[in-house]
This record gives sequence, C-alpha cells and structure tokens, in this order.
Amino acid sequence: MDQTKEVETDVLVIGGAIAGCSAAIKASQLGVKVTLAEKAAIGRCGCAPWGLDHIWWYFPGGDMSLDDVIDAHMERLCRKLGNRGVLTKMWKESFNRARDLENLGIEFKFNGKYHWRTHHHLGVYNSLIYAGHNLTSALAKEVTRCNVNVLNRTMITRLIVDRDAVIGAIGLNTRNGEFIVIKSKATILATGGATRLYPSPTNRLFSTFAPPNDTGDGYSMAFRAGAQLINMEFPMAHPTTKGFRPSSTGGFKNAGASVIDAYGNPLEAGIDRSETSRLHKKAFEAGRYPFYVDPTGISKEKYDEVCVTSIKNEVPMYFDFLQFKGFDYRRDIVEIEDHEWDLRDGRSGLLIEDDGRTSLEGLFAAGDCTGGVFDAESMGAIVIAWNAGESAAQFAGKNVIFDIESNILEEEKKRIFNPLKLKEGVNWADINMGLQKIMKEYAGEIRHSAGLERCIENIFDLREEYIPRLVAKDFHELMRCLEVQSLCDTAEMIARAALARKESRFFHLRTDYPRTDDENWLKFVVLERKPNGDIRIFLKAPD
Amino acid sequence: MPPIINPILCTGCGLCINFCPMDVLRMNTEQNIATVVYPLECWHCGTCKYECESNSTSAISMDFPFLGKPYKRIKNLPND
Repeated sequence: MDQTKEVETDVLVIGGAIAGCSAAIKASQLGVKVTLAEKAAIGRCGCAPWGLDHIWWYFPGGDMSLDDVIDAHMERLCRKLGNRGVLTKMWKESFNRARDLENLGIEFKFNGKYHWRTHHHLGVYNSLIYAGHNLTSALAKEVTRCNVNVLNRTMITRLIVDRDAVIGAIGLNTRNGEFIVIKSKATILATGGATRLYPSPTNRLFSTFAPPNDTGDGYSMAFRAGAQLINMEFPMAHPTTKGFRPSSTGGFKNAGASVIDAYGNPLEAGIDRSETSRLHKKAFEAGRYPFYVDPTGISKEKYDEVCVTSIKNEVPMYFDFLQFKGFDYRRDIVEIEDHEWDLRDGRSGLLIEDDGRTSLEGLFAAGDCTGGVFDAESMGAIVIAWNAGESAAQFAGKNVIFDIESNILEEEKKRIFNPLKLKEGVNWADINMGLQKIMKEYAGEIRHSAGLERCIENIFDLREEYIPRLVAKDFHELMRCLEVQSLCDTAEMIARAALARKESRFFHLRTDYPRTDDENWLKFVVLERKPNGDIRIFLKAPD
Repeated sequence: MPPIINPILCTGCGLCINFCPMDVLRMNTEQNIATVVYPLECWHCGTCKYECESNSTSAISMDFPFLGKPYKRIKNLPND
C-alpha cells in the first residue's frame, strides 16, 4: 500500500482495447513517448477480445457516394441527432485505416475475397464481414512492437487538472496494489462505455453483453475533471441470444435466418434498434413470446460460410456453447431477448471534435467513451483514435510536464485504499445490485420527472451513506469498489440528462413529455461539472 | 459457471491468469495450478480456454447453467 510508481510521459493513453491501442500506435509513430494504462491486459480486453465479425469501411468506387453513406448514417442511425463532422471524418478515413489494419496482419478477406453484407440495423450501406479476426490482439502486438510503455492491470482512477488543463492521472495496480502517479503532457481517454447499470437478463452481475468491467470509469473521471459529456440519457439494448452471456444474432441473420415468434410468425423489425425493441415489446405483451432466430432454412454452405465464420470470429465461446448444448442449425431455433441497457458505441460520452479533442485542454478521447455518433462502433473508434493520437502527440510536443500537488495525491490515495482499512463494511456487489434496482425503476423504460428526481436522490443517498463504508479484502476488490463509484457517477449523469430532456426519443420515453420534438430538441444535452461541484446542464446543437 | 481447470493437465504456464479480462484467476503457487478465485465475476468469454489451447494444452472447460436449453427443436432429421 505504500508503494508508489511514478511515471512521466508525453502521451498517456487510458484504456488499451481497440481505441486505446490505435491511439497509442499513431502517437508513437510520431516519435513521442507513450504510456498506456489498461485495467485488464492488452490483447484480450475491451468489447472484442477475440475479434469482430463486421467492420464498416467506405469503399471508394462502390455504388454509394461518401455523402450518401454519411446521410444514411445520420438519417437512419442518428435520426438526425449526431455530430456530422465526426461522422464525416469516420467514413472518409475508414478506407485508409482499414488498409493500416490489413498491414498489421488482420485478415479481412475470406477465401481471398472481400465479403459484404447489410449491417443488421444500418440497412442501407454494407459492412465488411470476417473483419477483424484477432483485431484486438493484433493491435496489442503492434503497441508492444512500438515500444509503448504498457501498464497492464492498472486502473486509472482520477484525472489531474491544473489551470483548466489535464496534466496527468492517478491509478492503482490491481494486482500488487501500487499507487500509480502519471505526469503527462497529453492524455487520451479510451475507457469504453458503461454496463452493469441495469439488471442483466439473468440478473447475474457479470453476464452482460458489453464487458462487465466497462463501468464508466472514463465518464466518471472526465466528468469530475470538468469535461463536457453528451447523450448520457440514451442507454440502449438490442436483441441478443438468450441463455448465455448475450451474444449478437447478427451471424444468424446475415446467413438468412428469420426472426419469428412462438407461433412461427415473422417478428417485425423497426427502422432502428429502439423501434425494433418497441415492436418486440408489443409482441411480448400480446403473448407472442418466446422469440427466436430460425436458421433451419439456411443451406449448409451459407451456414458454414457466414454463420460459423461470423460467430467464431466475434464470440467463439457462443459457438462452443451451442455445440456443447447439442445445437443443430438444421432442426433447432435459437431463443432471443434484449440484453440489458448500456452506454456504448460512440453515442454517449465525452463531447469531442473530429480529432478527439474534448472540452478540456490536454484531454483527448476516442471510442465508446465519446458521444455524438450513434453506432460509431469499431471503425469510429479506430479513425478517431488515430486522429486523437496525432493531435495528442502534437499537443505534447508544445507542452511540458507539470508537477502534481501533493494534497491531491493524498486525497486520491485515501479514497482508493479506504476499503482495505475497514474491518467491516459494505460489499461492492450489494451496492451494484442496489444501483441496478434504482436505475431500472426510476431511469428505465418509463421515465417521468418524479421518478427521475427520486433516482437522483437515491443515488445521492447510496453514495453518501454507503460508498464510504465499502470494504475490500484485497487489491482486486479495491478495483471493484472503485468501479461501483464510477457506476454511481455514470448513473447520476444518466438520470440528470434524462430529467433535462423534456421529450421522448429512442429509448428515452417520458410519460410527461411523450412527443418527439425535433423543433426544440434536436440538440445534445450537455453535462458539465464545475469545480465547486455544481452541475451545469445546457443544450447544444450538433455541428 | 466459471472455468473448470483440470489439475492434471494444467502446466502452470499462467497465460489464463495473464489475460483474463475480469481478473478472476490466480496461481496456486503450492501446486502450480491456475485457480478461479472470483467465480461470480466470470464473463464466460472463453479467453482462458483459448489461451490455454494456444499453448497446446486443453486444461480448461466451461459449463453454462443458465436457462437449460437456449434453443428449441422444431424439426426432426432423418437420423433422429
């Protein structure tokens, strides 16, 4: 507990999955000293530890122009509420980034050819399948090859701000308990989104669709540092497989499987996920459940070519699970349900420019911890991370190292290690479950002002009454204690943003404001915490 | 249900402990065998199993006691 590790670096990258590794690679290519801190271990962390079965890539010379693709994304996925500048950069540079990935040995082709398919909810432009097999591990290999200083099992807990700029960060080594102090000239946040906020379908805390250690650490740190965050009122879900840690049904659907109800009738799909979810809910209430994905009509060729490869690329454990349970696609249909609500995919989080700059000087961000583009996904993460790596490196080149005040270090050290000092106290899992109940009831599918106000009150009580009494018996449990604190912060942001948005949109449905009001509300709800703790909430039109 | 580690096949290489994203595994240093220390935090991602296999060992297996059967049989095949 008294061991301190001090690091000085040009660029600090917080988070080592797709976005974090991409940013670290680009920054190091520009010759600056890069340190990357990852809570788990690079190569097998983030949303896609084993690979991806799809990635968006604008292929010049196809039958849609770049503008058509951007329009389609804005229209169909963002439903006009999106940062067009960031979206444009994403699609425009996707081709070059895809080339970079191929050069790292990521195989996009299957049997020597590129295979396209309609992404299940974009519906307009095609995305590449068999993409990104071993994407995360290939990026991690390159990070190591670039001599980035990688700190695995290192959870960053606080950003340090001095004179309105981020000058470094504090963290914990979750294996050996070292107190980590990092002074950086530029910092890139790539901490992913947040799950474990709402009960999973099995109620099991760690059976979530997104990685259960994505607990909004970056949201919490950035918010407390004073950065602006948007779209926090929009946690979402989509239909996934049942009976396992949720997996996507994309593999089956792309092979031609139909989605049906208990009676074999086709289940309706909406223009986007929120509409599809609403239609499924109506069908559920009409007694048409259980719902299934039916692959029994698929040819063996198609099944092997699309389904097997697709699923094995992205969630190989799901395939093993099916085989283990005796599944045969020729006679069995797979039950589906929506997974738990979460924040990710680039829609909710830090407000950024197209080069990853946030509202805080010295702080850049990329990937799921950023907001403003619905369904930015992996290509969004890679393109913006690349740009953030470049911008951060340039910023670092004109900046110096600043000292961190010792009282800040002492304050954070106390907060981190307090649970180890207590002999008795509250278990982190109980707080997590309590928080999930609060969110489900008061900031869930049916929202209104009385409920959302109660939500904020409850989170406040949870935080004031129980967080100081968290107890841990080892450094791993300290990490879990810190995660529930991030979850509380993220939950509060969801509730406050939901209270501010006086209309209904996507999954944010307010009984007191049931209309979708494009005239007044085609704007982002921005949250910004002032140094004295006051929270400023205002509206900002997308660019 | 968290991974089941076969103590006879486990070589103590530590890859599973190194890579588990949920940090549920630790080395039992007396027997030099990987053990699951935080079973409720297993994500069932299979990273441990695949890392083990990448080292030419198959010491890790998994079961999934949620829901029973995740699918429903609607047809019979000629051999059924």
